[in-house]
Amino acid sequence: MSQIEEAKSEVSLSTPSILTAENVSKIYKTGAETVEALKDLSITIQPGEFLAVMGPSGSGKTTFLNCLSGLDDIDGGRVMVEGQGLHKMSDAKRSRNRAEKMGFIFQSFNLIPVFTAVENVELPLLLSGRSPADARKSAEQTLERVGLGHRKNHRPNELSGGEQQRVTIARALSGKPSIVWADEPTGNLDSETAWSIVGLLQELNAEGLTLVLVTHDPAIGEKASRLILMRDGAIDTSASQ
Amino acid sequence: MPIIVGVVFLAVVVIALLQPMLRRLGVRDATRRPRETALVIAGSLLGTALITGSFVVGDTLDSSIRSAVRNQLGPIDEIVQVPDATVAARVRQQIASLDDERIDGVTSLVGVTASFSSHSTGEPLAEPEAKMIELDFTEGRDFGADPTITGIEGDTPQGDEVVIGVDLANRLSVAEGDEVTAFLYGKELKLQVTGLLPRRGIAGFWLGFESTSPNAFVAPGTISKLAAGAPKGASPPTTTILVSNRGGVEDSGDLSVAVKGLIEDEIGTTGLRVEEVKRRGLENADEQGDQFGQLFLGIGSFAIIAGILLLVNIFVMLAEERKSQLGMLRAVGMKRSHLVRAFVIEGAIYAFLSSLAGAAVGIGVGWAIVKLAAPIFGGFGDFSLDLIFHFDPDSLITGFCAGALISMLTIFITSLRISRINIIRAIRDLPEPKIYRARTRTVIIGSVLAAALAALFVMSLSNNDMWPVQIAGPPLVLFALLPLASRMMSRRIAVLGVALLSLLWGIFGDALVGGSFFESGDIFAFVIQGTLLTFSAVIIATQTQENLEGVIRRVSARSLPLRLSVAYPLARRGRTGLTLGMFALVIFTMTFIAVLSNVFGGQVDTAVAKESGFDVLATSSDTNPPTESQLEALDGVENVASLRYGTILVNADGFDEPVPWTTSAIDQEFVDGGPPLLTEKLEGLSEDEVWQELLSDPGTIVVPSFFLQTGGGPPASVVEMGDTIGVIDPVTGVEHDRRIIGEVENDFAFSGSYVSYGSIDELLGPKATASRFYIEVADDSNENAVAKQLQGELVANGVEAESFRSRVEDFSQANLQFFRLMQSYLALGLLVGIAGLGVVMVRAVRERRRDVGVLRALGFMPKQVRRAFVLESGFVALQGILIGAVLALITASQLVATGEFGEDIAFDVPWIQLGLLTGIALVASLLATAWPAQEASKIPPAVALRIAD
Repeated sequence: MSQIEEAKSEVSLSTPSILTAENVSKIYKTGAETVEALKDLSITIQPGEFLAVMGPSGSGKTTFLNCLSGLDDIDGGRVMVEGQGLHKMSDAKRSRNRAEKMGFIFQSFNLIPVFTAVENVELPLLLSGRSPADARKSAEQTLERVGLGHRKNHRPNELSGGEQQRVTIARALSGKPSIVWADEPTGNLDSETAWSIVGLLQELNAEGLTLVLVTHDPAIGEKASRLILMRDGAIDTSASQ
Repeated sequence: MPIIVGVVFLAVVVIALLQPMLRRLGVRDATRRPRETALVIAGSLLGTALITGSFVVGDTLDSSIRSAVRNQLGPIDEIVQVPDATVAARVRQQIASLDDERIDGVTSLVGVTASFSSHSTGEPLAEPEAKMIELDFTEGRDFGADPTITGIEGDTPQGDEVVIGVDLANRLSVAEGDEVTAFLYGKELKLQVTGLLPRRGIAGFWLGFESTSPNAFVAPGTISKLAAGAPKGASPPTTTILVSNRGGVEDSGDLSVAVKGLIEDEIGTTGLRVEEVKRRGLENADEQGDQFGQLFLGIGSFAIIAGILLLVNIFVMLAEERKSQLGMLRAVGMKRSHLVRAFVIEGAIYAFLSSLAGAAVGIGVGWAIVKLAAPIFGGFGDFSLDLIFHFDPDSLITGFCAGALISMLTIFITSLRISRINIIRAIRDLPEPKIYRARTRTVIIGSVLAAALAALFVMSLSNNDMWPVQIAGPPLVLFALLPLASRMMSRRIAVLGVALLSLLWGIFGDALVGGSFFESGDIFAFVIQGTLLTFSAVIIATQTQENLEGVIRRVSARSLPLRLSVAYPLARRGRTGLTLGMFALVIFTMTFIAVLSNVFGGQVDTAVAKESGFDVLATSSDTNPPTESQLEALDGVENVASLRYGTILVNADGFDEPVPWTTSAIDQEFVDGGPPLLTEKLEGLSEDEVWQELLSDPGTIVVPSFFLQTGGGPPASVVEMGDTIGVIDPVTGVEHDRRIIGEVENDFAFSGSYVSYGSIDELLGPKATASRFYIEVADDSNENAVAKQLQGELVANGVEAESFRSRVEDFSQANLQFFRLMQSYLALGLLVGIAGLGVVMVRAVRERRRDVGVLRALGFMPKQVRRAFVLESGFVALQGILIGAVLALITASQLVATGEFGEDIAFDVPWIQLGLLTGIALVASLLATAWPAQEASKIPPAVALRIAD
């Protein structure tokens, strides 16, 4: 049994959930038009789980990620993170929660252009109150972990796409979050680089990292321990595993 | 200029009509975010507002002086002054017989200086220098085409009646029916006030420098009766023949040259002189208005340059924001020229609207300055001027055109630069490469330009009229050599070296070329030097920030907002440099003016010592002057030197017409008592030898350092030691030569130039009376008490006395007020800097929405985002403040040390004022960023990241 399969088997429904969403709805209003992006969506995410979210364009994948991570507000239902209502928290508390318990990986990397690789990676650490020296040390270790120790003092525009995404992953991991949200992390990369990134994420998941990954690519979705398919703002239970 | 601007805008309209795609691009980019368009326009309008404001200030001064000319001359266009009554009657008859259609009035009046007093309020009130006039009121009213503008009303006074002007009535606090006493020729005359006349036309006729007309009209024959027993040395009465030209009050002056020639042909010029008083007065109004407007335009130039930097910054930011869009447009086949045209169309919309709004705001700026200046101009007693707010539509048009032209030129040049993008780098939003190697063509052009500029600079060393080349020449040569230098060494080192040398030239260049930077007295010399210094310092600051980066990062390690706040400015040095330059330029001028104001304010003791060895200056009526023995008999008076005083006309090279200037004749007693300090002497003569030479040689003259200077600013030598000038009797027109042998620094006493008694006999004869007295006060007496006593005891002689210290203090106060006025105007420049910083930060928030979104996603609190933006603005402002303030201190200390503003002036920094100024600037810049920072903190992370399905 491979390391990944072992990790998958360890995910048990009896384990206390890391995040629970109940009847979450999200409505966008554009002029006179109203779009229900999420419709009474409910889901539970277990620690160590690798959840892949797939679906056609406009199905609500990114809204799912934004609302469940607390980046965006919701219009109905609730999201519980370790027993606490995420959207009941003040903005400041929600920000702290993100800094301490969540990591984000975006399709277009979204690194701070004026910071070097290591400065980008240490951001969440500093935000969660770690000392500068400690944060720097930890950030450097994380960069080593993703294979970019030698590029730590380079600015984003001096790195390739794959390298930038590795820095993003390092930044997402540096604070040792409970859960990492990845939105199309391979969307801007060539297939070889994309697979090396997926491999890295799988390894991290095998080490216990909870990962929610939005993707268009069925091949990547298959690597997840659970796959859900979104359609018109709801989970298509018939197609999900 | 309107034609040029019209052609420019027409060209833009034609491009927009002929190329719909570029029009759509330009117009839609300009209108898609109305709030930000409004912000760009607001940021750009201040330059136009300052230009228009300075024109409005000039218009107001011009109009106010013209109003004074209208009031004090009315229909009078030319005058002929004749000391002999018989000759006067003949001349008047000759002019009247000309019967020329260009002349519509000839009359004459007899005038003499007299002192007046009254006890109408119970307290003695006096006017020592009033004019007693004899005039036939019926003739006066018939003078010219319109009786109402003569100001003459009622009947000619008879017997002991007197009709007085409102200025004299106000001074003596009298009304109709009150009694006044006149003192002249050693006699006292009680007169009954039977009427009051306005300050208008003949009633307001006044030829002195004063803006009031304390006139008293008495019965014909009164003056000649009094003059019959005039004591020796008293000035005789003068008959003035008044001539009115056809036309309105102002346009009649246009005929003056022709009418003057006509009269001179008829009466001859021997012993007579026709003065074109109206034309000269109106020209003086235009000149003063222009100079004042120029002064404010000069001071405002710093803010205008700051406005240009802001405009460049805004466009560079717009281009960066649209970098990938521009790259795509180029990729699909758009030429560079298309991009330029699209940007120019967009820029033309901003330029047109901002210039239009700026011209309107400029009226308000001018109004505010006039309101602030009015108390200063109104505070000079008899010399005060009532400022009446006025602006010409032409000024608004010129302000609009100047603003629009500057904006369009800036936009065009910036667009050319922006259009040179690399398509791939633009599409992929990659930074421009740092490795720079100048093209051979650029190296050659730069080197040729440097050689030409160097040649021009060498030429300028022997021609002080080329002062702009003297100031800016060497730095321009260095910058032109930059492409060549960057081939020979690292570009950074080359840039640093050029900037450092330019900075050093800006500081020490004036001393190196023998102090000729400011000899022209032109305010724009200061503008060029200030801009050169600031730009050089900003380049050095931005180039060396790399070295400081490590230190800054270590310092800011503990605070994420602080780290972010310095990271962006350090990463975008070009843009930071533009913002820094904008801020530093404004702070430089404000600090400079504050320091100079303080330096001058603290020089009272030195100035008093330089002015004279005497303690009190007393002046008297020239028809009833006291004798030296009369003065010496008073308590506390130790020693008296009498000066014979009068007005001469000076003919000097570079002037189209003779310039009126006052002159005082001195004797040995004046020299023994302590004459003013000389700053320049004829080569080979000591200070004492100059004064002795003056006393012994009637052909010599000593002049003040600002002799014949008409503009403001530091004293600028119009004449040189050893020059010979022509000195003319304003009445007879007879001219004599005088050689300049010395120069005094100040003239708080208004004594003018100095000649000997023998010299003045030749120049003015008995018209120059001993009516000025330099008085030494006994050691145990108080100079102010003695001055007060002199005025009280010698009312009949029209004595006005004031200690030299008090005069210097009054002038110092007036100077200070004027400096404050300039500071207030410069505060508008600070507004440009602060508003500019606000605009830049608003653009920065838009540009960094995604970054803010990421930070918020990572857990950055809203308050941290807010703090980062405010700190960033503070970081830039603080650097700008430091650069501007330090440079201003160095420049001011250099200027004071070179003696441009006088010898032995101590350099004293107003630390408290400086602290307040820089503190306010810093706090204001932080406040200006408060709104964009707040907006940034409210950016929802999901929206900012544009994460959408």
